[in-house]
Formats: sequence, structure tokens, C-alpha cells
Amino acid sequence: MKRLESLFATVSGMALFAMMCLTFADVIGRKFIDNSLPGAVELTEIFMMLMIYFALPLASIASEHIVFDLLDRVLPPALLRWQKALSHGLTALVFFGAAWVVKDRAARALAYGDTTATLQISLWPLHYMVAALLAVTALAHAWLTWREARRGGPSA
Amino acid sequence: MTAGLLGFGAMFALMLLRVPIAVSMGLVGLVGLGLMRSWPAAMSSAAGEFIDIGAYTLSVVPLFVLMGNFVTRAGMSRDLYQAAYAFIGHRRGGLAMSTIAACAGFGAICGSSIATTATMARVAMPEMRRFNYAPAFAAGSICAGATLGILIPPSVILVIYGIMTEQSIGALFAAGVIPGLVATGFYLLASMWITKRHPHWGPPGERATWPARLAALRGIWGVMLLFTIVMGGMYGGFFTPTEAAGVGATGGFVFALLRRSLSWTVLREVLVESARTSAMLFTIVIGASLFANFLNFTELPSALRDFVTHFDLHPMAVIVAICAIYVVLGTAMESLSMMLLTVPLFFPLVTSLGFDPIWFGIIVVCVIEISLITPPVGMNIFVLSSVLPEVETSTIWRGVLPFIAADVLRMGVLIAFPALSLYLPRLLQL
Repeated sequence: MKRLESLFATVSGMALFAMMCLTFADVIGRKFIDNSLPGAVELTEIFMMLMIYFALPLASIASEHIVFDLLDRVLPPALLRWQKALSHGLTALVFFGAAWVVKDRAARALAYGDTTATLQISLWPLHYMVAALLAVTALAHAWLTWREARRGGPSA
Repeated sequence: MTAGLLGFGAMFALMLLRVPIAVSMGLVGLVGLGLMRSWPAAMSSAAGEFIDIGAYTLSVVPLFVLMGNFVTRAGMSRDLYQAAYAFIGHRRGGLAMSTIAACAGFGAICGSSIATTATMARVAMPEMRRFNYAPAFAAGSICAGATLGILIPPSVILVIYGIMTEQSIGALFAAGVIPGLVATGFYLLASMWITKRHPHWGPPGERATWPARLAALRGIWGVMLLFTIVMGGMYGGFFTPTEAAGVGATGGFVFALLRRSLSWTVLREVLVESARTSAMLFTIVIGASLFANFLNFTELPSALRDFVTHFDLHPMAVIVAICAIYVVLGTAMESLSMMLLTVPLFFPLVTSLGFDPIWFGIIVVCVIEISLITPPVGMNIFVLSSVLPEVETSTIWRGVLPFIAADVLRMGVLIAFPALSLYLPRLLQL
């Protein structure tokens, strides 16, 4: 589990760093050498997807999604635990749904052979990856549901 | 119109169940769209939102977040504080005023008030404690000062407003400069007022000599250089906001490297933290877009407009009412989601009344600043109490009150004089 988290963190962090370097290089190239990097825009978009969707399960595990937690202090602990289990369960279902609709979109990209404009990179693997990572996020919430329902406590 | 109200009701119900706000908005948007139009259309638009979040123009968000995190790690907040202290620290309440000035300076290279609160608390609180400042006053000045981060460009919130309403990010940034200075001025006045009433709350610090002042100024060249490159580059026509963010992040990286505050572990931490924050922000943007799509199919926005025309309300009264709604909502809701939730409803109304969308963006950000420090749910208060667990939350609440009053006065000034927001963007022809 820890190793998987670490792997996701590395991929997402590297994608962000690559995005930064690419944008910088593109600006320098265009302004000073009068030669922009071909396909910089679409590479940035690919890095964006990698960064966002590899970080998403991490944000879920770290409980970084913003929730309305004003009632936490007044609810009895047992009720709060069930509330947390219920909300994580529902969130898991929503992310599974999201994975499902993106998977359909990926299938279409595969069927139509969609590619990026300049570098002609096929889009379907990227879209399937997004669908898979959304499913991983859903699994993360399913795991949180299970944890809250089983032992719970105000830890998360 | 009923559908729209039901949608809002369902969303708040989900929120009360502790479902993440992003998920609540997205789910209601999707189901609403599915019921009102068709399910295939709703699903296809949802899939579209998940894919389109990777659009090039949106990369401005993670890059500005990254820049903020790099400069936070580089410890530039300490230099800013020392420079401000050298000039005004010897006055009564001078340390709190230095904190506010340093926050304003930090806001010019960092677009997040959470990062500003966290870093300034570590720098300014020990100093204020050393001079026996009243904890409430000290905490209030940090919380309030840190809200300047989202008004003074670059600002992540302004970027997201710009993306949502299709306004120029460059114009929004330019519009934030003068209101940011006005806000700083009001906070300084609030500090002076506090120490006038309670002189023992903020004893004066040590007076610095002129050579020491100049030496302290030299410490902030990095901040000034970075701000000049990013903003100058953007307004000099050298690069777009997205590119400015990329250059700014690289600049922040280089500064952190030069100041030896980056190890591999720290670098990885900064990158992953920025990526996670961005992923969280984008989830809210996706949820809010789905909700906004649904809202546009209900007649709620036009019903609101009809209501205003029917009762022949004065446009100014509408703005004041909107601000009041924000302040009330802001006491209980998280700021970004509050903005994303309400802007689809208010923006068409406000623009149809003939108000400038850029000006409205600044007003929205100012109300959000208030919501960051209004109890019980004020993000800056939460962050400060997690960084300084020894300060009671109720003490912080007491400390922010005079600054909230300053905020309300400032809102009045910005509403009464739109030119304060619009002068710079017009001058720069944005």
C-alpha cells in the first residue's frame, strides 16, 4: 500500500515538474531562440492529466477533499463514524460512475483513432488511464468506507 | 425554477452528510442534467469535464500553486518580515503591522492564503510573543494579513474565477493590485486603532538604524525580482498568464535551490503537495462545472433576473444583497466552493445589470477574504490554530473581529469606487 502510494506520488510529482520545465523551456525557446517547442501545448496537457489523476487517490487517502465538517464537534462519535462511512461509500460510487463514463469516452477515442494535433499521440491510452485512476480513487474511498465501518473512530 | 431550488437543496443535504463538496456538486449536477435532458447527454458531458480538465490553459493553476509552495519553502517570508520590521517595528503595534506588510509582500509571490497563514505564523508569532503582544491581536493580524494573498496577484482564486467566467486572467490580476494595497492600508489602520485602545496589547519593538534598514531591504531582492519577472513579463506582453506561472514556478524553484532549502526529499514533498492540492482544486472545478451546467438548464438564473427587474431593485442594492449573502454563507462554508457554487447564479445577473465582470471578480474575492476569517468556518483560523495549537480558537476569533470590521469598510470603498479596481486593467488596455 505504502509503495503504491509512493509510486503514485512520484509519477504525479514528476509530471508537475516536467510541466514546469516544459513551460519554461517553451517561453525561453520562443522569446530568445525564436523557436518554440513543437507540441509543447499537448505535452503539457498530457502531463496535466498524469499529475491530476495520479494525485487524486492520494488526496482522497489524505482526506484532503473539502467537506462540511461543522457538525463533527456536535455529533456523537458513533453517529459520526457511520456518517463518514456513508459519505465515503457514496463518494466511492460517484468515482466508479466517473470511471465508467470516462471508459466509454476512451473506447470512443480508440474506435475513432483520436490523436493530438501536432505530435499525433493516440489519446485512447491516456483516457483509459484516467478511467483506471478514477477507479483507483473509488477503491480508495471504498477502503475508507470499510475502515470507518469496521473500527472507525475520529482518526480520519 | 423548482428544479434549481431542489438541486441546491439536494446539494446542501449531501454536504451535511459529509460528502465532499466537489462530489455533492457533481452528483447533483449529473443527476439533474440526466433528469432534465437525457442520461446519455449528462454522462457525455461528465466524461467531457473529466477529460477537459487537462486543458492547457488550466495548467496555470498547478504552476501558481507550485510557485507558492517553492517560495514558502525558500523561507522568503522571514526576509519580508524582517524588512517590514526594520521600518515600522518600533511603532506601537509595529510588529503586527510588520506582519501585515510582510503578508502583503508574500501575497505578491504566492497566491494562496493558506500557505501565507502557515508560513507567517511560524515567522511572526515567536517575535510578537517575545515582545509580549496580546495573543488575540497577534493571531488576528496573521489571519487577516494572510487573506491578502488571494487578492494581491498572483492569486489562485482569481485564476479560477477567470476560468469559470471566461474573463482575462491578466486583467483580473491587474485589477487586484490597488484593492490589495487599499486592503493592506485598512488592516494597518485597524492595527493602529487596536493599539490606541489597548496600548499594552502591542508594545513597540526595537528601532532599526538606517544602515540596518537598507540591509534588511537587500534581503527581499529575491521576492521583488520574482514579482517583477512574473508580473512584468505578463504585462510587458512577454508571456501569457500560463507561461508566467511556469516561469514563476521555475523562479521559485531556482530561489529555493540557491537558498539551499531543497533536498531531494523536500523537492518531492513540494511537488507532491502541489499536485495533491491541484487535484483537489480541480475536483471542485469539475463538480462545480457539472452543477453549473445543470443550473443553466433550470430557470433559476433567469428567475432571479426577473425577480430583480420585477421589483425594480436598484443595481447597487443587488450588489449589497449579494455581498451580504456571501458574508453569511461564508461563516459556514469553505470559500472556494462557495464561490464556484454561487458565481454561476450571480454572474449572469450582475453582468446583465451592467456591472463590470472584472470588478465583480474583485468584489467576490474580497468577500471570500472575509469568509476566510469569519468564525466558525474560517480557513485561516483553522490553519493558524493547527500551526499554533497553544493559541485558543476563541482567542483567534476575538482577535480577528477588528479586522473583519476593516474588511467591511474596505468592501464599501471598493463598491463605491469601481475605478480602484478598474483603473489598472484599463490603463494596461487589458
